[in-house]
Amino acid sequence: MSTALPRAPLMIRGDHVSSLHAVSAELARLHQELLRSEHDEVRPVRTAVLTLVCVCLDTAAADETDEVVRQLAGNHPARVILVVADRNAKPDGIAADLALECSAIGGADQICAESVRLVVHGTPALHLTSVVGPLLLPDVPVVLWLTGAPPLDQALHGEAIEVCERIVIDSDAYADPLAALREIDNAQRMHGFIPVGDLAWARLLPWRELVAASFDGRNMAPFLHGVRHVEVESCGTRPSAEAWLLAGWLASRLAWAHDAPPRISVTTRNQPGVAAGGLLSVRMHCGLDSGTADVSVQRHGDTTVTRITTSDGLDAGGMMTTLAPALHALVGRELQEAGADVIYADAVGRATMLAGGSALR
Amino acid sequence: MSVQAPSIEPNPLREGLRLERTPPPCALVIFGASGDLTKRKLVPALYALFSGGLLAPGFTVVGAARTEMSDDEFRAHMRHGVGEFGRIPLNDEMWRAFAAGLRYAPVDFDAEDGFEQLKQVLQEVDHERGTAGNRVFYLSIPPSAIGTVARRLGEEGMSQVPDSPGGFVRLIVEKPFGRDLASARQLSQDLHHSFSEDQIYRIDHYLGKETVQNLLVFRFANGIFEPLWNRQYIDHVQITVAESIGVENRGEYYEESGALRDIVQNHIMQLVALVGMEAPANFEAETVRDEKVKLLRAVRPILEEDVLTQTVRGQYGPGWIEGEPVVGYREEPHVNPQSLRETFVAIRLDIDNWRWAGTPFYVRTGKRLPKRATEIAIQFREVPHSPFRGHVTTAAEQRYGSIDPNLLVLRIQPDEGITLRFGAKVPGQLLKIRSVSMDFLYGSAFLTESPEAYERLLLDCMLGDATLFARVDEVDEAWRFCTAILDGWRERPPARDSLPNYEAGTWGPEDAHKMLAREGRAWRRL
Repeated sequence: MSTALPRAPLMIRGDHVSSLHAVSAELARLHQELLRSEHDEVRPVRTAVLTLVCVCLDTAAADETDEVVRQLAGNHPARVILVVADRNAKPDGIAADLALECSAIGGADQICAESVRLVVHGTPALHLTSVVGPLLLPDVPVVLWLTGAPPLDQALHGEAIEVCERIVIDSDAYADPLAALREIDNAQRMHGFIPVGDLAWARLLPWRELVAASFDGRNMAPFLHGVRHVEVESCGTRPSAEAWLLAGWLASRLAWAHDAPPRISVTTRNQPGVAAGGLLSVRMHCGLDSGTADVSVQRHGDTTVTRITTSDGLDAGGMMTTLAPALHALVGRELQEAGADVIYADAVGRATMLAGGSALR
Repeated sequence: MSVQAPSIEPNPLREGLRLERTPPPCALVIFGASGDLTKRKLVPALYALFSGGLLAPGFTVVGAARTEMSDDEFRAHMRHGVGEFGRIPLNDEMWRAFAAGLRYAPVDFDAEDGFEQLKQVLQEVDHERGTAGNRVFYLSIPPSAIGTVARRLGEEGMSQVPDSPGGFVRLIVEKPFGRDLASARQLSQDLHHSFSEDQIYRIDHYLGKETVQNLLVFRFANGIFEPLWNRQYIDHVQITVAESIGVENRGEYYEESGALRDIVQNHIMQLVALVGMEAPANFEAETVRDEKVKLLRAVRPILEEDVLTQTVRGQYGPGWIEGEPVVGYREEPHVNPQSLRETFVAIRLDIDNWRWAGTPFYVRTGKRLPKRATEIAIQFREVPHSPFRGHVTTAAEQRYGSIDPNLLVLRIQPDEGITLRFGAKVPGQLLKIRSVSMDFLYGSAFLTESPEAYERLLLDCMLGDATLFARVDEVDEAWRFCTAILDGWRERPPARDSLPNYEAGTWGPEDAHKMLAREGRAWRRL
C-alpha cells in the first residue's frame, strides 16, 4: 500500500440547470474541466460501477442521504441521482444541480463519479422512471434506494422493477411495518419475484447466521425437526418488520405446516440504546423423543450471544459483533447484490401469513 | 487408510447465507502452538472467523507444544497476539467467548506417553463442546519434525476418522514440503503412513489470496481472453515475485533454502500452473488440481548443461532501499560471510504442450529488489504487419521499429488489478501513436475488506474444500523441475568472488537482463 498521505477529495460543482437534456451536456463539461484543471499530484480516474437512484421525500432527507452516499462513494463509485420528489408541490417542474465528486483511494489516485440532484415537482413526480431514465448509465446495474418511507407504488409496480437490479427499502421505516411487508408480498404475487433489498432483512443477517449456526453439526441438526416454541422479541411498542421477518424466515425454511406451526410469540419490550424495531432476542425450544434442546440468541450491547444447551449435557456458546452496522455499510452491501432474494421473498410471504389477522400490535 | 464419513443432511436455515454451511464443531489442534505463526497468523485468523460468525458454537482450538503452559497462560499469550496482529479489533466480550474455546496441552513428540495429556484434553473438549471427534491437526513445527508427528498421530489412533455422519480428521502441513524431490517424497510417505491423501491439506498461503483466485475467474469466466491465451498470440509470459525486504532474522533458514526453494518451488510454480493450465470442467478440488498437475508435468526440465543459460542466480550486496542504506546478504545475521546462497533467481521455462510450445515463461524472484510486487505480464505478439510503419514517432519505434506490443498485466500485490496496454492515436494533425493503459484497480470496484489468506484457507480446510491446497502430485512435479536446477547448480557452483552480483535496491544481476536480451526481450520495469 502506498504510504502517501491521503489527499483531500476533489469536488467540482456544475451549474444549476432547469431541464433534463442540459444535464448530460453539463456532466460532460465537468469531466473536461476536471481533466484540464491543474490539480498537482492528483490522478483522477473516472469510474462508475452502477447508477444509484435515491428517492427522498424532501430536501432535508436528500441532504442526509447525500452524506450516506458520500461514504459509499469510495467503495462503490456510482453515478448518483438524488431525486427529491413532491407530488403536491406546484408548479410542475424539474431542476437539477450537478457535481463531480472524487474520493481519494490512496496515493495520487482519486475515483471520480457524478452526482446529480433532481428536484421534481408536481405531475412529473408521478412518472419518476421517465425522469430518471435518460440519466442512467448504459450497461451498468441500476439500484433504486427509497429513503425514509416514501410510497411504494411506483417502485414495486411498472417499469422500475424491469430496470432496477435492486430496490432498496427499509420496511421498518414505515409507521406500519406489517402493512409495508404486505404491500411487498402483494407486489411479489403480482409480478413474481421483485429484487427488493430490505434493510430490515439486512439487519437480520447476523441473527440468521447465528440461529443457523446453532443447528450445524450432528448433535443439533435433528432438533430442526422438533422446534416446539419460538419466541422473538423486538424493541419498541409493536412488533417490528425484523421480528416478523425472522419468524417468517424460520417458518419458510423449516417448511412448517401452514395450519399447525410451532407456537410462535412475537413480543416487544423497550431497551435503551437499541433502535425501535431492533431485535432483542430469539429463543427456540426444541423437543424430540431423544431429548430437548434450547437455543437462545440474545443482544448484549452491540454484540449477540448464542447459547445452546441440550438435555444430554451440551453447553456451548458463540458470539458476533456489529449488530447495528452503519447505514452506509448496510446499503453498501445491498449494492453488491443483484436480482431477487428468494429467501427473503419466502420469508415475507410466511411472515404476513403468520401475522394473519392477528391483532398483535 | 481411512475413508471420509458420509455427510449429514444440509441445514435448511443456511440457504442464502454467506456459507451454505459452517464447518461442524471441531477441535483445531495446533502443534507448535508456542511459535510465532500461531500468535501472528493462525489465532488472529480464527478470531476473525469467529467474530464473523463463521465458526460453529463449540469450535475449539487446542494448542500443543513442548512448553508447559496452563490454559490461561495460553489464552493470555494468544490474546496478546490477536491484539497486536489481528485484522479485527479485540472486543472484551467477544474475546471471552472465543477464549472459552481455547485449550492447551503439553506434548512430547518423542516420549511414549507424550500424547496422553493431549488425548485427555481432546476427550474433555468432545464432551463439553460437542466437537464429536472432529479434528484438524495443524503442524506448525520444523520440517524435520513433521514426519515424526504425523506418524505418532497415526500410531496413537488419532488419525482415525470418527464413525459418524460428516465426521472428519484432517492434517494441515506448511511449506517447505521437503528440500528436493527425494525428501519431498519421503515426507509424503511419512504422511501417508497415517493419513490418506484426502485428509492432507498442504497450505501455500499464496493460494488463499483473493487475486490469485481471481486469476482463474479472469481466465475462465471471460470469453474474450481465452482464445488469445496461447502460443499463437502470446509472445512470452513474465512472472515476478519481488520483495524489498532482506532475509531479516531468517538467515539460518535462508542459508538452507535460498530463493529457488523458498519461492519458486511453491508460489511461482503455482502461478505458472494457474496461468498456463487448461480450463477445468468444474471448480471441484480434484478437477482443478488435475489440470494444474497436467500443466506442471509439461514443464520441460532444465538439463544440467543448460542450467547456466536458462537460469540466473544472484545474491544481493549492500545498497539502498527506499532511501535507507542496507547491508549485503553476507553481512546479515546468521549468514555465512562466504555464502554462495542465492537470494535472486531468474529462470527461462518452457512448457511442452500444444498450447505453449515455443512461448517461453520467464520467472524471477528476489530479495532486496527495489519494491514489493507480484505480477504476471502477458506480452502479446506484434501485429503481423504495421500499416503505420514510418508514420509512428514513438520511443518504442525508435527502439524496435514498431509500436509496443499489447501487454496484459495481472497484478497480484500490492494494488491488485489488471492493466491492458494498447496503442492509440495521439490527437492532432499528424499520425502519432502512443501506448496507453486501461487500468482496472481491483480495489476501486470492490473496496470491501478481503479476508486474510489464512482465514480463507483454515475455513476451507474445516469445510473439506481442498481446491486451494497443493496435492501430492503437484508438489512432486514442482520439485521435479526445481531439483533438476539444484542438481545443475551443484555441478556448476558460482565462483566465490562472483557474488554478490547485484546491489540491494536494483532489479537483480546483469545476467538476468542479458538472459532476455539475448532473445530480443526485456524484463518489464515495475
